[in-house]
Amino acid sequence: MKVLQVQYEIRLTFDAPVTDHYFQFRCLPTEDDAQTVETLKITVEPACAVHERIDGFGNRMFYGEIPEPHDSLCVRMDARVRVERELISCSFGKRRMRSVRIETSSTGIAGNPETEPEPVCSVTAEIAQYSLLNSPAGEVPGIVYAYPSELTRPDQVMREWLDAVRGGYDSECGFPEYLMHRLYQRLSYVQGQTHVGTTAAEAFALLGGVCQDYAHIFTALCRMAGFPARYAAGMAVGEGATHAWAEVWQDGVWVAYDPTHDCMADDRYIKLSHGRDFIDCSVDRGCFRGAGGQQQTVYVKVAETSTLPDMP
Amino acid sequence: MLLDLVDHKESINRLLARYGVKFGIYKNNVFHEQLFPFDPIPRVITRKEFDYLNRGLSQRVRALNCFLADVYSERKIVKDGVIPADFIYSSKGYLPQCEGITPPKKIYSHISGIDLVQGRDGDWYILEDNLRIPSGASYPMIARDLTRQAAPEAFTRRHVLDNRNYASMLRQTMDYVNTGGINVVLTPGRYNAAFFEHSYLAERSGAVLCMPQDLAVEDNKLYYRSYEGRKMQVGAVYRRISDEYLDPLCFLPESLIGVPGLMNVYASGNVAVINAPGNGVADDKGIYYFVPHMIRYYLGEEAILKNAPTYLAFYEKDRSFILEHLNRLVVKDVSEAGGYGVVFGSNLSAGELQKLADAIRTEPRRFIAQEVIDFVDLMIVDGNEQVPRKADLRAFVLAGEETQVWPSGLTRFSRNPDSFVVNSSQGGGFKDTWVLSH
Repeated sequence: MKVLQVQYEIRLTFDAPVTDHYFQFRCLPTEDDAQTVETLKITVEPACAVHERIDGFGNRMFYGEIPEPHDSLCVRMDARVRVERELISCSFGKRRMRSVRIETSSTGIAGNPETEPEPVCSVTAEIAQYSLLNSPAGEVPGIVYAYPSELTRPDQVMREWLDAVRGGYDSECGFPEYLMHRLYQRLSYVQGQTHVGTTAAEAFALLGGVCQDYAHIFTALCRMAGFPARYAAGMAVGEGATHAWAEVWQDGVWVAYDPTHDCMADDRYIKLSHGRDFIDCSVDRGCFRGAGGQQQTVYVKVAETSTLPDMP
Repeated sequence: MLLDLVDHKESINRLLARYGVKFGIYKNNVFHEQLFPFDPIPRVITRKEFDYLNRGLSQRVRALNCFLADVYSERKIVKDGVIPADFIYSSKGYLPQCEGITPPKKIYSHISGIDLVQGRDGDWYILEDNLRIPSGASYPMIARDLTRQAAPEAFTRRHVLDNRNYASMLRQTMDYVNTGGINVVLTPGRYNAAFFEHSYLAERSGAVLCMPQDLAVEDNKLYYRSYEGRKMQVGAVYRRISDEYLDPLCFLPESLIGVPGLMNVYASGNVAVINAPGNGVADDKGIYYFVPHMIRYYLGEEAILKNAPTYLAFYEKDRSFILEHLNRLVVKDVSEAGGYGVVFGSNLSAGELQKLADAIRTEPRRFIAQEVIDFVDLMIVDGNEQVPRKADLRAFVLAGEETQVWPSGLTRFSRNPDSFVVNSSQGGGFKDTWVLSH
């Protein structure tokens, strides 16, 4: 468990005043089993009325409009968030912690935080277990995330690579984790060769990209392997910008993987939104009337305020 | 019978042209506007037959509305294993952005266009459901009007239900879900295929015809700004813009014909959107197969109207049947609409059949196959003679306080004697549809 102090600021500046500006932001920490928002403050400049709602994916967002001429828009979010995220070990062969909130599992073992879990079944069984075509799929909350989306549609090259990885899978760790390690060996972190609209298949062909591309590729591969997976957008301790990772539906819980760093996304990660891919999670979406250019600056800071567990 | 109308073919078509009754087609990115050829011999449906169709079609639309409400909330039909998740969540028409939104009065499909044909055995078969923005009601409306002008005597001797009540049915449908404010018909503009219809329906129903730039969101409500600058709140939008272009903040960001923020207002319950966004999941050609199951599941009734016998390549048993009988079936690509992606096995060469079979094996989810229904011919006027042509019927079902069928409909026919495809985008013509009052 960690308590994180989070700041997010986005400033849009326009070369010439703009009007009829409609904006919509997904930059509030999600509230779920992993994250509890203790304090939250939002400021919007110029001041205007904002409304909040939950979008179709379960993300909090707020929106409003500024009809009058203005030459900048600044949104700032300050929050204190308690994070307690489910983890699975992140090294080959060793399994330290496993998801504990298993209500029903097809292997019949209920999870227990105190004991080491039984070794999981063989890989083919595990993959079959998640194969949606063979299971009462409506029971899977992640069903929306079981299918390819615009930016995560795999191609033949990815299919073949996945088959090869499956063939070589002899590890004790779960398949998504193994897949992440293999992917990390294959890809390199390269800035500038991809952009926000790059698809998983394109980035895979380029053998790398930035966190968004890693998350897209990993998400696409997990879905192909039969695991519902979703794109997660947020921030992390030590990252000076927004970050992206992925969550995989395993044993009745969403498990967070950070394929860019080849590790589990733990309590140092703050999630702002999730969706099928980047498009569903874009922090800001808006449109306005006006000529001239615009600049965008984003300031992100995440700091630990406490690492002590709650006292009873 | 009805011969008195034959002579009016030219005069009525001339009037239709004068009134601008046209539809547009984009071919190679160039906009062509065409007249919609009108045939003066109406399709005639007896009152008894109409009552039967009314029961069957309103039952179908009630079930489809239940299905849409379920898909975007509890998903019971998937959990209970009635419809495989694949057919819902991998459908292009399923929009996760609409999850959790409850439309006013819980109606999703306010205006449904259901296409059906009458077989030679006399039975009616449903061909497809159109629950997004089905067009076509305006054509028989204005054709009836002009026919009455050209041949008033034709209606004095026959007891035909007036079909010009579509305007008031439409108005009641909008008023019923209106959340407070005016009704508007939102058109993408002059270069839309159905612009004539948009303007005609707005005029007849008393709604305001508006372009996207006439609407704006303010403080989580939707407003119309008139040419003179008057501002009025909008309570119901009959939008003739497809889902993906409706709101650049929610769907395609590059859309220039959307209203930014409209989905937020709608999700907050501050405006009704007709039809609801996300309906495409229910009129998918793959979902069609399951509609009789839905009727049983949600209403506890047996379907009154039959589907055409349909096979889903997704199911192994059906797939082998399809592959075995490919040369006599009609195969449809579920991701296409408007008569595109429809292939008759009997028209294909051996090589083409092989190619189609391979496509079905590779992507079974993409295809359905149906028995070719030998549906009745209707007579049309061709020069100085009358010739039989294949025709279907698009019935309009309106869901407001009650769900009911408009006592008329768009009868489309193929002008090509060898074709079963009647879509206007494929060069077909139309007839009025008369429902007799007895």
